[in-house]
Amino acid sequence: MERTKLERLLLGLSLLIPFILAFQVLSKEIYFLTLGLTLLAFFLEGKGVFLPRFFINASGVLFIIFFLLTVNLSNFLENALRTLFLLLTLKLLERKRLRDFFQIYLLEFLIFAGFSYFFTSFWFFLLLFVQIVLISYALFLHLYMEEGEAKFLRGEELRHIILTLGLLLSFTFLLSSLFFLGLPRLSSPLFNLFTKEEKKAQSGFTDKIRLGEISEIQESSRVILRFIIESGNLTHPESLYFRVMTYDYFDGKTWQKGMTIPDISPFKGVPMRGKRATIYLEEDLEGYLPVPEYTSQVRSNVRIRGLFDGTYALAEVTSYPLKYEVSFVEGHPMDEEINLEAYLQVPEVKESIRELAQRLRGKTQEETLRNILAYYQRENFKYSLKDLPLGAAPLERFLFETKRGNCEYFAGATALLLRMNEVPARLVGGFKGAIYQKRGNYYLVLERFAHAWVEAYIGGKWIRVDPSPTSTFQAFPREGGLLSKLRLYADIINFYYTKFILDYDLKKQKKLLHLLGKTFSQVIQKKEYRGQERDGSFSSLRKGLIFILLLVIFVGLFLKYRGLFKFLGRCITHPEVRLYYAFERELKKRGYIREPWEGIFDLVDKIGEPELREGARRFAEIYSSYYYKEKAFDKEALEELKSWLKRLKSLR
Amino acid sequence: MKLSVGTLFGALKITKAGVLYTLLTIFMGVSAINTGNNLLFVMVSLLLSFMWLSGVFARANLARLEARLSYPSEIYVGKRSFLLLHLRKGLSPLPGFLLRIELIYLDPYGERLSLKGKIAFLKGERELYLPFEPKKRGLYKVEELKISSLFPMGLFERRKWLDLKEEWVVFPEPKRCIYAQMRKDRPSFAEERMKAQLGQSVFERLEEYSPGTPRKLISWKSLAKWEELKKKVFIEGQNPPLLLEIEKLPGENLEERLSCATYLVLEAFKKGTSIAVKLGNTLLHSSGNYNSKIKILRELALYGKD
Repeated sequence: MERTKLERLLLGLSLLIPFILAFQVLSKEIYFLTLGLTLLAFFLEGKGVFLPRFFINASGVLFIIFFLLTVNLSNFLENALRTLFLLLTLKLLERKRLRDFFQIYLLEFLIFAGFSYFFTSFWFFLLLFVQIVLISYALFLHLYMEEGEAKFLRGEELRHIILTLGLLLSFTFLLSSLFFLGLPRLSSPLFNLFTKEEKKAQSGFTDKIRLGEISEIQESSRVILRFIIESGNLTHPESLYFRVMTYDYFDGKTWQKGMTIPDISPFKGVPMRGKRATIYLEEDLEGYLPVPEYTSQVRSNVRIRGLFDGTYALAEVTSYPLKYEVSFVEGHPMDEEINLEAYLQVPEVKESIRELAQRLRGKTQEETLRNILAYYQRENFKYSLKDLPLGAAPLERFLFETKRGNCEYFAGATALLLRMNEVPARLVGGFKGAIYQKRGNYYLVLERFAHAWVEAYIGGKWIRVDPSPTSTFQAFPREGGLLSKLRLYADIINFYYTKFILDYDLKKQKKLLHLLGKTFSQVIQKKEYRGQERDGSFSSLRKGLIFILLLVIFVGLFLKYRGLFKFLGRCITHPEVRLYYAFERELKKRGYIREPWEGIFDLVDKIGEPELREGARRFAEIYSSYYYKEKAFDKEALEELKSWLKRLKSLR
Repeated sequence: MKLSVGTLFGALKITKAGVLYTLLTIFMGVSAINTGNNLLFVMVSLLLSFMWLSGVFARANLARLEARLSYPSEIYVGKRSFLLLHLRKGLSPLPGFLLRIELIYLDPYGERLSLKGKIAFLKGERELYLPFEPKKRGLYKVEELKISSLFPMGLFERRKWLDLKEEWVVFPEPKRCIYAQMRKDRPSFAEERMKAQLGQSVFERLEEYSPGTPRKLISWKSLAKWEELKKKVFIEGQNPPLLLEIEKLPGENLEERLSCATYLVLEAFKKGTSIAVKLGNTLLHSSGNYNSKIKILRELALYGKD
């Protein structure tokens, strides 16, 4: 392929992934500016037009000055990425020599380093590897064409370049896993580059519930969190409620937080022995942590606030996925009572709703609740995500006209009707249900499981009321499709990626070292360690460690006995080498050893028995006629060598 | 592109790109530790592994290299010539990439000089043409063959020195000159040619053909008969061979006289005239074949160099 064309192709390919990812990170103005300039650069290069170097350098300096003037801790990443993209675009506009290609790929690498703060899924990890492969090949080919003064690349050269570099990269990927495990780490980061402003990949969860809003996200398959139950399984994962936040103020259309919830856990001092789970939260939910109902304790590396309404929020900004451990008991209501009046707030509502509330009032608070729920059944309310009642009076339309709505309408209407009957009530936003992934033994909560329900303060306790018709509420729409199955399989990779790569920290490193020492000493002492492994994860970690240990031993042996491995490799790839060594071996058995300075014919001359000598000479002649004339050993020659070797063996 | 900035140790030299790569690795390593971002740790691990493995691969790239040198049998001072370096990559799963070759040799005065070339891809054997235009006559010796490579990424330059025991002789520059002695004592080349044409030279025997034999001495008959090239050998009548005495040749100094002698020897061989060269106390006779020509030229080249 022609050099200039190949260079442009390589450059274009290397820009593809950065620009795809940048769409989600850069502001739209900067994105389209850089994209436009990049396209212009390619167009101009095609015409042989380049911007003068001094202009490029001066603009580069200006961008950097602008960056330094505008950067602060809260916008560092976004600002840095924007500057890197602008510098990259500038470099594309100039005439490119080898040095410039190096600089361009360096910028791309730095951009990826910046991206690593924005993208946490396994797919980014995969794209990172693809990009590294691309950059490596591109760099090598640029260097090759420059150093080799090549205008074209021949097929054979290209094939060898691809194979050799492929081998180098494969080893790099293998070795990097050892570096990854062993690089020094700190117990907690010194700088925190995550800020509130940078929540780009945010889920649709907000601190307000506007009627009809959740329906948009109830179609989404985005992963919100994964969790592992420490011992045992959930009997009904589909009915597990994840609490995120509560809403106490209703203005007729929107539910939101009205009051400040104090930082006191309602479970403080209440001993709760329940299940323990480790949660990996994928995305920021306004700083709130989804916890299974009812969670009494949350532990994490970052500071967490336990709030009085049974929710948990981050006390500091952090990165995602975020890992935390929770202790929870299913069905353990909370009894916190603080500022109950706030939960009785009612907006101005139409007379019709007032009349309905009046009609549904029972003798007790429980009866009122039962009446409300019975009303939905009696009037045949249906769960629906489509054609939701919007407009000026959505609740009124829901209650009297359409009688169709999603969880927000049911929960919103119920809470309102309860409040109008002097029953303190609030809306709880969160998720309902989880998919059990057998292969990874974990549970998966998707964005479309977003749900809203009600809590009513009855009999001194907050009781969960989920008025949405369960028969029609489809947290799990029938998913028989191949795509959704594949998506679930793909999530297992993501789960392990999160668990083993993104969540690897000093604690795990220490554990690994400890285990490595232990395993090593056990291997040395040849101890029987059957029956000692009670913990499943401990055992799998140990298996992993043994594998790594074996790998290290193998690499060590490989380095020590490189010659032997090379010989084996050559035997595999070159049958004539195999035959030659068999020939030498055969003669060695008869007492004729070739000294390092001797050639094949010297060896033959040493043979005493005439018949053996003649046979050996014939073998040597055939071998050398190909080997020294640099002819490739064809099938015929190999067959002949084989037959002579056989004859030599038969003389024994 | 000039990349080199300094030598780490003998066989390895870090390039500017390599310095930048190392700085990037350190910078990203510190960032990874400070922020605890595992993806950065992954990137740093990749950078470190690549750095180490590129060293291993660079070594393999230069492993199993064998070299030999060949050159034309006649190289003259001031005339454009060449050396051919035959480089061979022995049995190895990896071919050789981006080889920079520097043939370092000593000229007859012991000055270190070098010839440079590049081979981008080496599998099996390849020849590298090294243009060579010597300035001094005498014996040239290869001191070492330096092979270096920027493979795989131009971050480091790995070097290797191959032992190459080769030497060759550069003959003096042939400079046209008129040898007065020749006019007095000898018939001119033209006269001699006439004689040969008239058959005054007596045919003696047929000899094996050697390269450089003047065309008129080739036995075309035997070529036609046996399809073999033979050379006719004549007895040159009564004329003794043309004697070239270095001290008596025109020229201001020894070098000029040697250049003149070289010219005359070449002319004589071109025309098939037998000659004898007197170098100090040594008298060299030409037997008319190519080997004796080379022998005489070699002696002229090395004269006064011991």
